[in-house]
Amino acid sequence: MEDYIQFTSNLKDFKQDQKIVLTSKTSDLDVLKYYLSIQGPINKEVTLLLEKAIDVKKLEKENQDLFTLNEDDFLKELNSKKFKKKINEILEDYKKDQKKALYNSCKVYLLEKYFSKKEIFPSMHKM
Amino acid sequence: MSEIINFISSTQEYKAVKKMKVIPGVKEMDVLEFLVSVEVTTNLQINRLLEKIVDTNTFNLEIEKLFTKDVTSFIKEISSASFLKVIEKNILKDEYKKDKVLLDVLKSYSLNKYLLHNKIMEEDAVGYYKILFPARKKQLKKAILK
Repeated sequence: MEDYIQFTSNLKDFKQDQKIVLTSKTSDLDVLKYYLSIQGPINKEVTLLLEKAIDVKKLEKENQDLFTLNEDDFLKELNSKKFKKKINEILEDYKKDQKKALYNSCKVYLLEKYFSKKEIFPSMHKM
Repeated sequence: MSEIINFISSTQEYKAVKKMKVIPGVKEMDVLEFLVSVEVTTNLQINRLLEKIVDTNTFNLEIEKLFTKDVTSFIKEISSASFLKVIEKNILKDEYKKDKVLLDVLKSYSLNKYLLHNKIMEEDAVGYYKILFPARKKQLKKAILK
């Protein structure tokens, strides 16, 4: 039986079929690159679904000034009480446990947007 | 035809099956949470493979030397030609030395370590894969009870 890894999706707006068959010639780096190649589209879809779940226009509009900051000030601002207050206002209609997850999602969303402009990523999902 | 998302790993080193069928009642947030759970797996595997490819202990010692720098300087440093030389000379095996993707992975790995070490970001705010969504929380509770 062959060794393989496969990711498939036939959702209306998210179609994927990526498979790697491991042979004696497949290196660990080949497998790592395969994982990276499926993480990119998955992360993009997560971002799109998040954009449907929260008011992204409002999120970006209210945080536009963050993108003009340098890295240190950007991260300071992202961890500030002022930022938390702003985001919680956007998420006021959500239940408490979902609110916490979405609050962190908003942080990741802005973090990835900010760092992707600098072509460096704080996690490997956008590579 | 029903809508599905499947992740299957059937290798000697790692076996996993994650499947989701999008039936009526499944919300977009459910799909999001499922995809994040796949990211948890892929991220773990990337880190496991990275440890096989690269001497991460030596690499960690190299980047730890830079942890006292501010974020801007740290990023500048890990993107510099001199740091690249250190990686190529001390960290990467010959067959991986010119691999651009691997170098980008190591940069990302470094920034992630830096942000967490200096407590600039919490682990659950660096990537979606660490966020505990309510449905996953329930799944985890179930798993703990078992």
